[in-house]
Amino acid sequence: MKTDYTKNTIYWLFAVHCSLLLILFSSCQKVINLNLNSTAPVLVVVGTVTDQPGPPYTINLTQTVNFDQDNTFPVVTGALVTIADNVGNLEVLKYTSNGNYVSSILQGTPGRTYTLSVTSNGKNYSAVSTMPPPVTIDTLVVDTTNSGFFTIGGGGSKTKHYSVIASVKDPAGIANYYRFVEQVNGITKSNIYIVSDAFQDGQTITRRIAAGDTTIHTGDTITVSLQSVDKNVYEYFRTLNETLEQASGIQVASPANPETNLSNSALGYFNACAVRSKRVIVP
Amino acid sequence: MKKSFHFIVFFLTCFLFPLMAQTNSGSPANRYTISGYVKDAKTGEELIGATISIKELTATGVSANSYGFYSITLPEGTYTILAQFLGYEAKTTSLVLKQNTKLDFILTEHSRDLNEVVITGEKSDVNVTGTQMGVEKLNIQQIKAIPVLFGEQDVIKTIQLLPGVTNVGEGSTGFYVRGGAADQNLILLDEATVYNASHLLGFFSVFNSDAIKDVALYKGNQPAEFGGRLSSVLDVKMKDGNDQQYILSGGIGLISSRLNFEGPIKKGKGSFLISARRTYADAFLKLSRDTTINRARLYFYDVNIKANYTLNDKNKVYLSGYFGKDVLGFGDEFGINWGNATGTVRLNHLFSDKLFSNTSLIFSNYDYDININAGGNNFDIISRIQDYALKEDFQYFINAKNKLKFGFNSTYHKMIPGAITSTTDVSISDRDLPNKYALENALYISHEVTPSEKFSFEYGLRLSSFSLFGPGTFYTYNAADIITDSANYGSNQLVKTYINPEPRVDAKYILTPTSSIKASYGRNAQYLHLLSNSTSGNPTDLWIPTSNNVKPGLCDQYSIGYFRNFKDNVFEFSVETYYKSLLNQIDYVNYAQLNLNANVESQLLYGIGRAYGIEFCLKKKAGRFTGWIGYTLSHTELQINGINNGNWYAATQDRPNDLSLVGIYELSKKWTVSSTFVYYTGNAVTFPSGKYDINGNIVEYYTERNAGRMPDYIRLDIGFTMQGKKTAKYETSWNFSCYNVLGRENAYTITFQTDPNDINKTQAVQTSLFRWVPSVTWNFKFM
Repeated sequence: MKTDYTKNTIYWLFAVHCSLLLILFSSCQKVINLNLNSTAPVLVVVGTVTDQPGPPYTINLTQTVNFDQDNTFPVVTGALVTIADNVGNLEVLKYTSNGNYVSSILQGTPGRTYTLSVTSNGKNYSAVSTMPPPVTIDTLVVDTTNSGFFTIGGGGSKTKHYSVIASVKDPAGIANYYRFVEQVNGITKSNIYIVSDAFQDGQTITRRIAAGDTTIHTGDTITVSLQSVDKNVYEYFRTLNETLEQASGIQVASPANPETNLSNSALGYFNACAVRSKRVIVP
Repeated sequence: MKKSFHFIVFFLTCFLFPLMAQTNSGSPANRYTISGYVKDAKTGEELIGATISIKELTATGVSANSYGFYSITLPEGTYTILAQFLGYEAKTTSLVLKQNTKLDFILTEHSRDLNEVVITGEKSDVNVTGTQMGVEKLNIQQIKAIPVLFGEQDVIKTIQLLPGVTNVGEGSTGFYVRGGAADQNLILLDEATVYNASHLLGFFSVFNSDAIKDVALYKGNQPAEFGGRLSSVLDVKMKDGNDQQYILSGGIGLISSRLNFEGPIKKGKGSFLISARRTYADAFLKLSRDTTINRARLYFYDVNIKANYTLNDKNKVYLSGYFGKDVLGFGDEFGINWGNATGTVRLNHLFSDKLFSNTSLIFSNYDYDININAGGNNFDIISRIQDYALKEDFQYFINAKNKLKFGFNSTYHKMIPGAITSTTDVSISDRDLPNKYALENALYISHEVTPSEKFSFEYGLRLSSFSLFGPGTFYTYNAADIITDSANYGSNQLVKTYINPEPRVDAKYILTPTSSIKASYGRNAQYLHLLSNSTSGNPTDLWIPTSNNVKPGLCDQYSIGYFRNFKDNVFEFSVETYYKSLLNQIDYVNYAQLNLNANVESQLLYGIGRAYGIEFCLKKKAGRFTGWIGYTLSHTELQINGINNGNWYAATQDRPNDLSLVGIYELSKKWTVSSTFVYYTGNAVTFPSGKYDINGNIVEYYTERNAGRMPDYIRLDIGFTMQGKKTAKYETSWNFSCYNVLGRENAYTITFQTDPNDINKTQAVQTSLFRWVPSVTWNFKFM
């Protein structure tokens, strides 16, 4: 599935089908105890360099925990973290707190290739990401269409289901990969919205964001940032999304870790992206 | 190529030698042939596999082929000929054989009187005496007595209860045979390949038991006339229709209804059958007040049609057709339809009373169509696989000790992997994945020899080939799945051909009159592969051909077994053990994109597999109580480059322990009770071993493919059949059943989530589908 629409469609189809079956045939769910294998802690890197004016750019280092442990992820301190670009700039990032390493002089520029390198506990990790040229969001509209397609199980209720529809005029002739990040009243949502132009090169690409959100209210400010990302970063978020989806009920035959651009079996991603944002107030 | 040629020469030499030996040592007396058909007295249906034996010559016998035809050649003399078929009164005829003789047997179904003494000799001892091993034949009456989900009797649900066969998941009609993947089963309906045998995502199979006469599952060595799949052949044959009287029958159930009409075209000469089903679960959905649910569409229907006509003594024609469709949708916003269509035209021709031939023209189609009209997107996706085939089979009944089968088949495959059409111009660009065209051919010969009373063997060779044709651009991928080369081919230009000799050998040695040992070896090649990244199988799973990158799958199976009957063949016991070695097996890269991907071959990983196991089976075939216990201990493993560091790992279908119990008991003339019990080890699955945080999402961390296990599966079903009033004009019966009587919550899926009561914790959640599913069906028959 090259576009998220076709991909999502098939997922939705089966999600819907499964939910129908579940409703029809009185299925039941229960929490069970599973004896899961444990694992030695693995480094998790989350880092972004953007073209927005001025630092800091943050690289966050944490570790995995066993599945049955609490969601408290140990932070990694004492690591050597550097970001270099392909025109000879290099900066050593400084540790602040909570596993964050921040830059102070580096300026992200579209077209440049950035190399992250992390040395921690005697091991070296690296990642390369190239910042694509920026693309802007043409329109951002709030939509309250109560579409059954997007609001499984909520069809009969009176609650308003909000979506924001972003339209982007895709530059023709080059492969573009987009990631949308949604903020509601300044708080960043964790949902993943990605799209590529593989099926829609040069056309107006629309992406529905926050499909069927019921927590949004009139007067809320929704900011959507459009990140133009490179192919590897897109693939990371595509596969991360699948990991999360399969965890939430869509069974895939062989779940796996997302395809990261980091070396040496580290988890997470390093993303050099150009960012353009648009804001809308919920009417 | 050279190697294959030597192989053929070797085999042909093998064939000629025993034949010659036979003719040279043949008795000087004149030999004559007795031939004819074995049929059911009431319906005129041919009795497949009925045995014809000669009382004067022990261990001389033949069985009727799949068209009910038999032929046996004997020296001049006086003989008593015995025709037998399980569940039917045996019939004997005395005959002075001094010329070639036509002799048809019309057998009457055994009366259901419980007090009647069971006559010995009626029950076949084919378990012990047959040369084939690893073959399971199912009686449709037995299938109808077994309780199943929603009361819908189902061929595939029943074969899943046999040793060596397991279902893909709860309620699913997908099945694994001896560790083979679900796509390694050749499913035939009157010789036409059925590419997707499931309705409603697997809860029903495409086989309507009203229209089915006979089911055979070859889980061991496949006879040489079959090929193209590595694990098994499920050969389903439709009923021909009653050629004596018109019958309208059917059933009304909670989920679906069936209607069946059959009768003579010309009495004793030809007959027809039309059988149809439809589910109406969607009628219940409409009652819901939830607009999401009441706008849903969810149903399937299917129709079976069959007709046959005897033109003359030597020629008989058959016409069979199947058409089925599943519809799933949501208002106008989206829908998906999928279904199979098959058609077969066959001509049986007797060249002589020793040489039987069948010519089949076969069509098969599977397609799905998705349409989306929501969220600003309007488009259609279609995908299709189509077969046009010609099949020619000869059976040459040389004499009582030699039988030769040979023939060829040729199948043209056309595959449309996926085409997107946008119904509005803006949202999605139209895109067609290139169609694939291929020709699959096979030539086979097989010789069954019975040199002595105790020993018999069958050996054969199937020579198969697969050719992929243009037009299109074909890429070559290296081990890292990177394109290294591409070539353009014109229309009908040959891209790649594979040829595989597939030798097959079976042997039997009778130890005592009630026990035997059998051994077999067979090689199979598979040229079409089903790509699926769901655990349960989806209608959108994609069939791809062998190509310049994808090699044909190969399987060598070795098996040996001990067979023993007790109490005048009332009890059958068998233990069979097998070892399979598999080459060119396919698994997927992580997060493989299988649908609508022009470079789908870049998503595949290749390796080898092995499967081994031991199967125990004890059956009671006659009396008021019938049934079986089957237990299988087995392992199935794969070693794929790029998965688990190239180490052997358990395949999804690895199920070390598998136990099934089936019992059917006639309480009285009116009531029959039946029950099944199933226990198996859960599938090998991939579970997370850790977790981490990405931007506020808790993400699972996976370390090893298929290192986890689903919980064990346990289920008990129970069913009652009440025979209603029975007159010459009509009869009715009621069927009551309960699926999963114990109400055990068997895991359908296991998912992982944040604990809703404590966001600092994660938990594993098990979803189970069916607990206590009761059903009622009323069946009727008007004559």
